[in-house]
Amino acid sequence: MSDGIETFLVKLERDVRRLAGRHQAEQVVAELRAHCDDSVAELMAAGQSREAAMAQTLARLGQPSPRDFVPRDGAPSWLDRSRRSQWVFWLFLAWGVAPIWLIYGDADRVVPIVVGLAVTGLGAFGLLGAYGARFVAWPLVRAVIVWFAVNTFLMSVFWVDTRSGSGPFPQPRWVVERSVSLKDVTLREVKDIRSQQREAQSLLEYYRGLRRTGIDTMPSYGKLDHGLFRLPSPDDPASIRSTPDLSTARVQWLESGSNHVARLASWADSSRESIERYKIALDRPYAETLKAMVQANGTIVWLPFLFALTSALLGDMVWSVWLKLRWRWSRSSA
Amino acid sequence: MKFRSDMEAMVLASLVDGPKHGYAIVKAVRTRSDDVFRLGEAQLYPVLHRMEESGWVTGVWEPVEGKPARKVYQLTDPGSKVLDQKRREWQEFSEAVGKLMVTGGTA
Repeated sequence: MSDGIETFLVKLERDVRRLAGRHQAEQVVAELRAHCDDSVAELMAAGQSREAAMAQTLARLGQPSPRDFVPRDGAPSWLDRSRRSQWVFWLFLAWGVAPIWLIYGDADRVVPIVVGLAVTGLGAFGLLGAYGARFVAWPLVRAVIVWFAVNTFLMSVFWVDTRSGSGPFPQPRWVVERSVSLKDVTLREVKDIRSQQREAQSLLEYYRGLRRTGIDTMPSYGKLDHGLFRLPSPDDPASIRSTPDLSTARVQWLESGSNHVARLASWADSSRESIERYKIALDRPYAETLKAMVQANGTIVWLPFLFALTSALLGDMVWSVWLKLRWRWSRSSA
Repeated sequence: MKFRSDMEAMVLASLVDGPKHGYAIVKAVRTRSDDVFRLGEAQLYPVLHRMEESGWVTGVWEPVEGKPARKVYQLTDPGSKVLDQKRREWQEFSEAVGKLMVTGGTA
């Protein structure tokens, strides 16, 4: 067979295999090869040279579309095998990539988003799989590869690697920046409160002493006239002085404030650690971030793939069972 | 009028006198139509496959000594009925066009 005919057959086989599977591609090419063989033999018998016969045979074949060789399987035209692979590919990309960005964009709605995506995926891939799960599997593999490449690149640009023992996933850069900014402010406030706490502690001891001696007097407000340790109004010292158990009330109030500051301090210690980690992540070189995103995507890419494939297999199975049942009913009623 | 330029009808008609493989069908259509109808040769096979799926023809692979195997197609009973229907449609169509062309030419 001439190079031209062989090239034509090889290209057609590749395209048909992609659209309709290996078996169909082999059948088509075997028929066309026999056709070309007959055509060349006949033209040569009529006196043409081998080269001329091959060239004419190739010209007579025309330019068929590989889509014409895709067998029908009862699906509507917009969902036939050749188009179905495109549907699977783009649907998986939209359905698989979006969740990661949706979930981090709206972390409060993780559960409804995940449930919504699961239901959508089950329905969509189940429907596509009803016409044959094997025609879903290959486009899914291609989509996974593209998803891995595209999502890894986008995440390496817009996300940072904040993974640690407590936080297993990377996070969007803007979320981390906002978090660092907010926590920085809060930590400054905690620092102020701690300085107040030291004054409050001496005041607490003072009131405890007063309570023990039973002598009450006006508090020294000083710098404590604000923030967490703001005391009862200094505008009415008479009312304070006249309160029977004022020292006890002040002691309890100051103790409560001290406990609160202690909790804040504990939180601040853990926050300081995560802020340091976030700042390191934000300043990390691109190559390291890219490597981290490759690892992260490699870990999570299989979950939607397996879910979509399982949905397609379920759709295939349910549809096969339904067809068998319908066939039995039609036979029993006939 | 249902009848249009119908590759399926031509293929079915070419199989009336016995089973044929793809290239033989192309040749039969070309010869019987005095070289007027030239089937798109690669386009023939998707049509044959559709007809096989519909049950109008059956295809069987037959080995050929020293050559690639050929798939030989044979007309089935449902295919014969479809061909009869297409013949009737063609008859109506050609008569109608004949009348129109003759009377239209003399008006």
